[in-house]
Amino acid sequence: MKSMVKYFNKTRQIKGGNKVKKFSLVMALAMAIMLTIGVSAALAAPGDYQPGTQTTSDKYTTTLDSTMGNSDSTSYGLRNGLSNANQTGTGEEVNDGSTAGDVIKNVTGQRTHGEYQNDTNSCASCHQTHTASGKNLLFKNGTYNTCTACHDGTLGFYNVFQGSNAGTFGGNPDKAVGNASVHMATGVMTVAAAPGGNRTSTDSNTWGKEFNCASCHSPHGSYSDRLLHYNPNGVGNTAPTDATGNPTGGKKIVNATIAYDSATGKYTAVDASGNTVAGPFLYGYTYGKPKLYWSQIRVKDATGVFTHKYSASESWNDVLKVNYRGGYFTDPDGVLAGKTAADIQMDVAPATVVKMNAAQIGTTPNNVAITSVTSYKSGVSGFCAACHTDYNSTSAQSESGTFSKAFRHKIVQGLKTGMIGEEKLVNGVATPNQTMVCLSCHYAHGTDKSTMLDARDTAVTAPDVNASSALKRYTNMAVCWKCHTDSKAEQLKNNDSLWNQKDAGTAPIN
Amino acid sequence: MTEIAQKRPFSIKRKYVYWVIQLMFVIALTGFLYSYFTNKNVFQGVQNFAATPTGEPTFVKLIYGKFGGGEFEKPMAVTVANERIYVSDTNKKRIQIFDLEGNPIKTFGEWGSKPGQFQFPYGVAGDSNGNIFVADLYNNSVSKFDKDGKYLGLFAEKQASEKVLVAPAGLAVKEERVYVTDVELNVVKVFDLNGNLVKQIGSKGVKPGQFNAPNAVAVDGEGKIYVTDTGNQRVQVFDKNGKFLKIINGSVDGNGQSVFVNPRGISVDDNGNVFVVSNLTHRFYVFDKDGKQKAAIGGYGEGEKQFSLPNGLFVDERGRVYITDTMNQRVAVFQS
Repeated sequence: MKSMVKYFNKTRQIKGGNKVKKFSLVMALAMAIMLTIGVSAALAAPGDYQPGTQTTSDKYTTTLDSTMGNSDSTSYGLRNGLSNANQTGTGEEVNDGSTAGDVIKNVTGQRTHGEYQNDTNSCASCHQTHTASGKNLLFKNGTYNTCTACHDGTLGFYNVFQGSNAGTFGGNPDKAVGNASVHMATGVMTVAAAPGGNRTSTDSNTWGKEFNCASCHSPHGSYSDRLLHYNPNGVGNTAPTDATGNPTGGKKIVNATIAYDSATGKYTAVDASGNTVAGPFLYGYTYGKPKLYWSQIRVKDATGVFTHKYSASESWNDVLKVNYRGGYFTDPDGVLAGKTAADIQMDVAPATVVKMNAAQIGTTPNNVAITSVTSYKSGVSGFCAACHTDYNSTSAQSESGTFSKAFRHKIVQGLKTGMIGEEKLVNGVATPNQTMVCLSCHYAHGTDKSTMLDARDTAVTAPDVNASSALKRYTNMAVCWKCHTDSKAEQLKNNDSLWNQKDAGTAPIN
Repeated sequence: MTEIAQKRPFSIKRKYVYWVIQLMFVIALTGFLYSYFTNKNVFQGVQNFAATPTGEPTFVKLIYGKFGGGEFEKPMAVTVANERIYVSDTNKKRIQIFDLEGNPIKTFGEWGSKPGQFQFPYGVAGDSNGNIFVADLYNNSVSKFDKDGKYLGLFAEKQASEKVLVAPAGLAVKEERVYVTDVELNVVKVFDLNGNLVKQIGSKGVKPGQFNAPNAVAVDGEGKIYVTDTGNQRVQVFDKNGKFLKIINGSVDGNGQSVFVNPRGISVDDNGNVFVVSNLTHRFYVFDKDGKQKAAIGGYGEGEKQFSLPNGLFVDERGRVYITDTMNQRVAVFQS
């Protein structure tokens, strides 16, 4: 201790030492002050700290990657630091190309979604060319939010939160009040959650994809009314089995043979059963040289091997005239000279088409018809089965299913009067609502007490008593009772005293 | 040692220096933690003072509701009345009441279609007698409540089935008159405070004076009526008798390209400045009384001057601008 004091005293007595010490103390103080201010300002300045892949400082330097802008609702997605709308830098308040017309930015009389015309101006309703906030240049990252910004009734039509033939997304989920159930399209789950589907797949192109409005609807247009998707769950471009031979639920027709009609010059695809594959075909392709189309034509080369390559840079689809919508191709340039139909084969990626009947119920202020679906013509159960694969059963007499086996209610059969279904020829006349479809019993969007009926088509007063109301049109097991009162009814189901209270069927006793 | 210290006028004990340094670190750390956990930018005030152009509203605060059940789910509209802030939370089917500082007072309303219940509470406004009016888009009616949310009956009808209003959206009260927009009838209806129809403006269409889903309405000190004509992407201005005057859409004379995409909430301050929300571009605009654009604030995001599908807007007597930021689930407050 004594020596330490001595040492200190000694140190302090070094010539000029005091000045050095004073300087270093002042220096340390100054640095501390600068650090205090600097750290506080730097850390506090941006003012928002979102979790996820970004830090507070990359607000201005974020690079786009494919995983960003994918998520929905209030997610912390892509933020590119640009504040708006169609232009980068100057004039940013102008939404380029608009007229003083419609919010939906389209020309008067034209639709927002699809049927685009030569002078279309519909794109800017949802997309921003250079400064989008979400993936696919959407204004907003999140399909559900973008759609419902308009489809919540605030534009006066096509309100998905009020009852329609598709049901409602707006029911009351409280079990005691509405016991609503909906097709959860907010993006919180993947397609694989669909009952009857491939529950374990994580394929990001199909089952592993986020389930949202765009899983069923195609805002840019489709071959079906209600803009139903032309390729739900990727079924069109997915082969029925994967590389290891496991079923995928896909509908792609692989290695179809070709038939040639010399009268019309049309080449058509023929499936394994010998039936002509009708169009439309999907025309998507995989990038590469040459492109590999989803509906790919292959021709035997000199060595006898079928190849999609016409040349190093062109695919056979590029040099033939393929009519994807019509489902055939022709050879106006004679590139198939010397080849017979047997030298050609084709993968066909069929587009999904749902046909339905709709009635006009109004007109928008800019003269576009507002319609409501009244019944279906064809294809709707197949559409549901793109995800609910196993439930589209044609017989209840044996176990069925692609991903799981069980006895399941047969879908395609007769229907009670007053129910929604597909049309059928009756005495040579196409008659609506004759054949059962998934949507005879279920709504596509959702249900709750306010939209449900009982077996006598009377509005119900109590919510469905089950754990889930399962998007049903009819409450409880009235969904069964609606039909099963007299159809093929060998068993006596009710005695006299109850029959009067619970009658139903085609000839009810009142 | 003492001797040496006395000889130097600016001497300071080493331990004090350490104390000061440590203190500063603690201050810095506290500031940072405060800023981090409250998501408040402690330097914003200084920045605003230095960087905000004259006349542009400055950011004040964000109101998130009360944690533990009092959060917003989808706040669609806002008003100030009785020295309180009223916010319609459409997804929660209720109205939230705050004091002027944004402290939650209470909520009222529940899901349903019976009297006093809500299915889509939207436009909200208050009169000078302490009554609050709430438009319900799905229940086809405007309901009247006292300032604490006690149900006082339907406003314009005895029963909603009378369909005086079909899809009421925006509300404004000025000088003993209640203005209601209807997005399905495509009209603005003007009532006295007892719910008797006084006047009706507009019809369905795209021409001047016609509407396509009008979502909001405001009235200035001269009685001029400003209607957000959402589907037609413009604001239309009418005189107090309902005669069409002009269009505001961000272009010089209202005839050019519109800056709006899905315009929503609207309000007018005492100086005649018009505030309008452009929902799908996540911002709000300020126009002077001649319709000339003064400011455009926002952009997509979760930051202080950013929005995610903003909808409702109200300017109070103090010049405070309240904007409901639906997908960020909050109300942003600016000072104009």
